[in-house]
Amino acid sequence: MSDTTIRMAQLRKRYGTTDVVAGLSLGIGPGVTGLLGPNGAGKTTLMRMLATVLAPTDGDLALLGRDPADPDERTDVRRRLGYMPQEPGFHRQFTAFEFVDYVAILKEMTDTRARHREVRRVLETVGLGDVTGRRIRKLSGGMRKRVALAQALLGDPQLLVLDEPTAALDPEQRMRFRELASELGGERIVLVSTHQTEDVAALCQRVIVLRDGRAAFDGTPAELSGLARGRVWIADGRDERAQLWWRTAEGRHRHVGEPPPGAQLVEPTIEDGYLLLAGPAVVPEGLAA
Amino acid sequence: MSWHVQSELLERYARGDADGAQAFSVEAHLPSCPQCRGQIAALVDGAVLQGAWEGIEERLDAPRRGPVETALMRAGVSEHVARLLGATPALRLSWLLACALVLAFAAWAASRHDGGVYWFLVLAPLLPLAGVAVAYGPDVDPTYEVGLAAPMRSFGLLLIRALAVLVTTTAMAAIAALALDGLHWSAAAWLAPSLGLTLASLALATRMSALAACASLGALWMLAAGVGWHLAREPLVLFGAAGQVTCALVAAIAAFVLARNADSIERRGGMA
Repeated sequence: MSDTTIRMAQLRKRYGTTDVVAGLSLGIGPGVTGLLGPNGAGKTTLMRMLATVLAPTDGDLALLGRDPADPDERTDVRRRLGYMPQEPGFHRQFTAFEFVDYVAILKEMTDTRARHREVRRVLETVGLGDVTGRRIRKLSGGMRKRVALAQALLGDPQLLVLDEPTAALDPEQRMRFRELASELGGERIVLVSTHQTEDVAALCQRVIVLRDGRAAFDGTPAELSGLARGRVWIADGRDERAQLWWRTAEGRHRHVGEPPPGAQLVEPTIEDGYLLLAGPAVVPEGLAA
Repeated sequence: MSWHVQSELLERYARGDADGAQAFSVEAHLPSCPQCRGQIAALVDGAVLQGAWEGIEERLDAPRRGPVETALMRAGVSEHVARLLGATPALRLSWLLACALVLAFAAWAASRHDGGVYWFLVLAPLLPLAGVAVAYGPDVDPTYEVGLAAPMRSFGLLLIRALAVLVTTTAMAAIAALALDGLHWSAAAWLAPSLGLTLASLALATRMSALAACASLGALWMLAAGVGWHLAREPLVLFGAAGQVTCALVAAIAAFVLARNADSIERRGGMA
């Protein structure tokens, strides 16, 4: 039986003197795993290493039981990999169909008829069956994201690495993505890097929070929100003792931190847990106490 | 709907045995009659219907072939390789037209001035070099990152694109050379430098980006051509026997380096 896990031990990526990924040791199995973290936390660097497009500086990495440092094993991993980069590039003169078809050729699908059938399948899966012939430069940002997702689904890969797949999607498209990712996550490894805590809450069985290249948290979404239990309160005015605070739509102030006596505690969300963990690094200047 | 197609005619139509007029009549009737559509649906072989739908979708979705892709397929290149080559910036019509203009100007200059052939010979090997520079890499290929994660080897893609660029520009330069005054041996003296520079650029691309490799070699070639002229007081010194042998040697060494480092372009691009 083939290995369906990702294993990393003391994985490190250094640029100059900075460790962008600083000795991560994790095992990831089938299901949807979310990667959260502020900008610069090392999410994209980690995703690129897991997609075999960036080599670690140090440490061990095994993808689906293969060593990506070995050329033949790396090719074997890539045959079972779907990768959606954070900023996918397109030949803009291509139509959606032509672009996905082009990537399918890079994925060694050389039989024209079977390849076109597969291209149609993935475009329909992401809800673009009606615009297959439209040029990419005429598609909206959300549609382009879905084209990028479609190419990642080619060949029904066992390992899906999706870097910020929900950015630029409208709420309805995000719902469809969550449904799709949830379906895919049954027997496959689906790694989703995102800034959207609600995406993680809705579709991930596991969440890893990265900070400064290290795993600051590894657990379920419920455990992440549980970190903030008893540490989130609402008040009419700003409380200087809070670790973080922000003004809500109702004009009151939501605080995260050690509550003062008598504070009006509220049920924490996954965002509260994440903010408490990530701290001021994820909050715009001025909001952090 | 006051009438329906007879069952016997529907059966013949479904088998493909109805004559032209009958088939036309059935086809005109079916879109407006759910009852007949329901009846014929049970008569049609599902696999045949699926095949027909696929055929229609195939016609609607089939990627358009550009002139370069069409020409490559006519020359016997397989469909998927032609598509990969068709997306090469250095094989687009605009690029090829620019190359043709440069060569035409160089051939015209060569026929108008004494020593003009020098400029033609210096220029001709630079065209495939420029083509290789924009054939593949993070700076010129928007799908580079996605391509790196695909099983097709980056080196293989660069190689087939470079080969196509070399063949195309060599053919264009050869035609331009025929326009030079008098068919002298020197009209073909750019061939070995062209091969040597192109292979050297690919060998260097195992250590740096193709763009940087080609730019460095282009500058080096221009410098060598200028210095050679200045030192020997003979513009074509670089294209003499010694120069040709040197270029052939460079090509052989570069081919050897390439063969030994087939994986390093990919490793440099990512898995270093």
